Amino acid sequence: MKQHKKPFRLSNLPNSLYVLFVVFIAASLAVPKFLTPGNLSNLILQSSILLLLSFGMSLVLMTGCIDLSVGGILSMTGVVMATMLRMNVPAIWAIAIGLLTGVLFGIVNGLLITKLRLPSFITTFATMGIAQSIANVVSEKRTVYWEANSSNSLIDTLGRDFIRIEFGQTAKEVLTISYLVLITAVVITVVMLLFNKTTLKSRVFAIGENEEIARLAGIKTHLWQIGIYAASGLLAAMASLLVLIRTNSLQPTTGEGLEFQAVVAAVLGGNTLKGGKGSLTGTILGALALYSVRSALSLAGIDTSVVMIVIGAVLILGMWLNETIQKYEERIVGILRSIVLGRNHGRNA
Amino acid sequence: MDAMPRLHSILDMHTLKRGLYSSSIFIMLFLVFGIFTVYNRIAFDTNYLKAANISVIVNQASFLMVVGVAQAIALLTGDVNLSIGSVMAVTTVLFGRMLQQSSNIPLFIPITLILLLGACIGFLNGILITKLKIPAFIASFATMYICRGFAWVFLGKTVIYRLDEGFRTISMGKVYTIGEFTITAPMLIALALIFVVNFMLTRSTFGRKIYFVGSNVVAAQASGIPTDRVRITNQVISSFLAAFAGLLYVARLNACEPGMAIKTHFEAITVALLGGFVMTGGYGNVWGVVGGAIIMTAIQNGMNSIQLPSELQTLVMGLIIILTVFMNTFLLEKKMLVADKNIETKKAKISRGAEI
Amino acid sequence: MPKLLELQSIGKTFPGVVALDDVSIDLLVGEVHVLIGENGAGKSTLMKILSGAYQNDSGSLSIEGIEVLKNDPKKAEQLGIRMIYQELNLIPELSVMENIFLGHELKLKGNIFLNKRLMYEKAKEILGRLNIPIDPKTQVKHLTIAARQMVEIAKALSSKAKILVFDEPTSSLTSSEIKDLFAIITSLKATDVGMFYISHRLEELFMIGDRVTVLRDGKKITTKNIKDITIDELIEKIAGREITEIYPHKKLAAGEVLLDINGLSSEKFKNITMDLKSGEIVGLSGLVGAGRSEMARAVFGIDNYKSGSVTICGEKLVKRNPKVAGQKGLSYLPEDRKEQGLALPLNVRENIVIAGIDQLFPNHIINKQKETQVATSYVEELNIATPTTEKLTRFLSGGNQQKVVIAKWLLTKAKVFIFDEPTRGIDVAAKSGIYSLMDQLAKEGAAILMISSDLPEIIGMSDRVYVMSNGILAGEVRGTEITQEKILELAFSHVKGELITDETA
Repeated sequence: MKQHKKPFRLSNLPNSLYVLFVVFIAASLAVPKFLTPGNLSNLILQSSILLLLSFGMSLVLMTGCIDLSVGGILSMTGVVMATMLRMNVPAIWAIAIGLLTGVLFGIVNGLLITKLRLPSFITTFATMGIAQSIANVVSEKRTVYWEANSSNSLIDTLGRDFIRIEFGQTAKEVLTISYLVLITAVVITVVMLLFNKTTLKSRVFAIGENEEIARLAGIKTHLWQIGIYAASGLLAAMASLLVLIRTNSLQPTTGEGLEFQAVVAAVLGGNTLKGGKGSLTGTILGALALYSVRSALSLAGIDTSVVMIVIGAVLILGMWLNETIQKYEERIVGILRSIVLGRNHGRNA
Repeated sequence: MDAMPRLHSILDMHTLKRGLYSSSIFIMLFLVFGIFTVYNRIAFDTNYLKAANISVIVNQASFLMVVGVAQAIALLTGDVNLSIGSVMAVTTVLFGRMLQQSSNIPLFIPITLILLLGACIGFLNGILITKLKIPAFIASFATMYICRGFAWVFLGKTVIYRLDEGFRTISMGKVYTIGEFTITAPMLIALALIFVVNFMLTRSTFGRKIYFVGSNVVAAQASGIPTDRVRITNQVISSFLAAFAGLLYVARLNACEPGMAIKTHFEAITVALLGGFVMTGGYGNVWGVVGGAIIMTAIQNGMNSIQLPSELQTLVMGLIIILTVFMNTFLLEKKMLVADKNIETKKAKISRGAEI
Repeated sequence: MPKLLELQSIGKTFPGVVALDDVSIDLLVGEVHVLIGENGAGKSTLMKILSGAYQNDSGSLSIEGIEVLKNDPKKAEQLGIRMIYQELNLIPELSVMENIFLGHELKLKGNIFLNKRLMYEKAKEILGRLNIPIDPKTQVKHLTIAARQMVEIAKALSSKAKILVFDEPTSSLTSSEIKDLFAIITSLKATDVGMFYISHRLEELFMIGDRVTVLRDGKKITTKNIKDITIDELIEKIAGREITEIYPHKKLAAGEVLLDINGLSSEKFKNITMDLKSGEIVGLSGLVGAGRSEMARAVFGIDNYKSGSVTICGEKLVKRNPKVAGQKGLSYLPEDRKEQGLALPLNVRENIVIAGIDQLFPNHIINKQKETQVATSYVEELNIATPTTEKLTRFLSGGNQQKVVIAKWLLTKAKVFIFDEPTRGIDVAAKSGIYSLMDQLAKEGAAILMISSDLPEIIGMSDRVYVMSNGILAGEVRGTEITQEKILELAFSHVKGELITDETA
């Protein structure tokens, strides 16, 4: 039996690893406040929102489709939950209904794309507008607040810190990990468990690679596709829950533009738009990397509009990297090898 | 004996069907106007179909027409352009800035520079799509954010008011009035634009190449068409027209602000789709954009008249997009089948005629 | 031996062409039943009916004595029918074992989690039974085509296949890989699996087949035991007529060199040097994946190349510029005419005119009358079956579509034609029309390079034959040397025999 050892390949490591590495080093050097426990705590907390969105986006991308409506779903489910809290609905019900709304909207996306055979880009582009519209109408385009009382004490509890380590006196020297981060960690773990230990990965890769092959193998491709969109909607709803808990209110436009960042994070993580392959770990790193860029820039006092420009450039860079690393991998490895091992070693492995 | 076959051909199912599918946009127009007229009459006892009202609608629609054409051209090669609104914002912000700083400059200089900038952004889009092989919607998504970011950087949270009066009248002036219906400059500008673009697309060799690239880019390459060049040129024209649209909008608003045209990426696609264009390219007549823009404006105008919140307009647009994409594919297929049937039955008739 | 399946009096018609006419065939348990015939004889149509991809118009299909009505791919799966196509049904990013068990994964004790250890063991067992030395954990993207084929077979077996259909399985395999494949097939026979085997390679059939059925023009000509028939008899039955009738090209004295390819190299091919003379039809043969189409595309300018040069009529051709290539008299007719040769949503007129549109209208404005006139003249000249030039090309038959592609290049007054698989998917009647056209073009002084995987076509039409193997020009054969054996020998000469590659294919 010929044992196959997986050769070390640059293309196996997600691009996001490098970006994260580079950003962390650059940021730590350039922006003194970056590497503080306080900032890192904030980083992890804030990026959780993006993380959940990107996870859903990666799954959809792996099936060869895209979900541009996640930002809109975040806004919409957030408004739904916040409005219910304002009407004194017990928190647990408000959350349940909010999550359910996300799932249902995702199912609608899935149905439009599988049963009506509409292209996923334009369909989710349209539903993005519809979801955001609903959010704006229900909230009358104003931030939604609610009174803190006994029915929604859960919200308050969840917003507290789970771990708090004080390295010093000031805020920036305190490392805090909120329950929200814990929730995110749990969700991510569950999803990754399902991905690696059940048929989820095979199904998703098969559908993305060639729907015909998947169908011939007996896979109910339409059901799975709808399910993935439902999952994406659910994760978007969870992300909006995080926002709601953290800020104790909800702006109806919170989700606007987040779908773009989710795509960037997923692409940085090595996921492609064609599908059939991809990495969830890469996405985690991608979301962290992207958020680090945002955080470092805002700490350095750079305006949000410039951040927009940078993120746009990062996307282009990420896609270009995905392409070129594969193509020039051998050359790059060769160059790295000769640098590290010295000229005498040449190219032979 | 001769009259019979001719009568038969008019009532021919295939000809009827073909007429139906081609005029679907007019049916939609009819429906939309019909619904709002009825509603207005019943609910508010007003006449929606007043000539003055129609004139307002068509005037407003003219702006959407320009934007719609910008999108339609990009769509013809299958490369959607999401950055139209942002290009409008960044070019006009710079335009306003230029006017502010040197108010003595003859207008055509900043106008030309701005249009050139639009073209350059389009060129960038084209390069991303063809040389870096980034799918158009991602590339224009990125440019959308980059341009919008630059717009905010250049102007911050301020707005520039009261631009040159001469500029305003060029693009806003009323030209002629027939009874209650006013023909305005924007209408004429839009009309002229569509004439020119239509001529280019249907009668020039470049236009033919665009349709071929949109139908099958691989076959186009294999036939010696420089497909990269065609796609890049399309993006250049698209963003050029976006900058042009920006100037028109700015003239109407009499202000430059970085947050302008924030919904335009939605509107442009809706208008183009309503106009019969498809996301995959290779199909569509630019005159359809006229109908699409009017329908959209009529809907917006109609929703305002029955006092529906403006936020719902995006929702309606979203629904329209889904409906139109679904119908366009369906209709396109039917049109092709019917056209083919037509050709075959004509042939049969000719041979039958020959026998007789 | 009992009958595994029976197809009786199968008929199938497509618009404009009768694909199958009263074909009856059966398969015995443990048998290898070979199907042969020319391209377009009906072999794949018949097998598609078996696999449920098509519905037969008349006749019946019975599996183990029970009639199957309204067959579809799902039903066929359930009945144990598995197709092993050239385009393999594997997911590259997944591992071998994940592919084998795709759709019917083994799970832990009735819950949702995968039993990866069991899958590994079982996969190892199946692969071992067939003597396939691959680690089930390997990702399919790292495997060579031969290895992937073996995984396909293992996959079919894992889900209780009773009937396997091999469609040209050896076209990309080396001789040692073919030996391995045959060993697997032999062991399958012992497990009562029945197999249909479609191939062009006559000598293979004698090595592995039990019975052979010959199809021609949609009809079954004969079914015989392999022992009871000779190669010559077979060829006679396949062709049904004299070779010269089908392939009209009479070799002429060649004129001056029109196309000169020198030392052309890229990632897919190395150091290709060949020339084409006026009046010649030169064949280019080789296995699938030998790099022929890639080289042609590089010559025409669709793809780039790293070194070497292309000269047409004495003028050096710039790289990567199909427009200039077309202007200088070079033309390229791609192997997938639907996807690459035509814009199907557009009509005949638009497709004919597109390559020469700048020559036709130098002032950039199209004159519709002139355009229609020119297009109609080509429709008549080439006998394209369409009532007007306004007919959409997607509604034309394969042969007529190919004629439109040819017309497109005639309009540009091309002098050098590169045909890539000119008669693929065209029924036999239309093929002769294409061959006559090619012959006429040569007579009028054009130079033709004909890339083809159809050996009879290569042998019948070519004045001389270049053979490429794994990206290298393996050799050139002329005159009496042009035989199937010599060509195949050259075609295999540079193919490696590993199972695992370092390239992610």
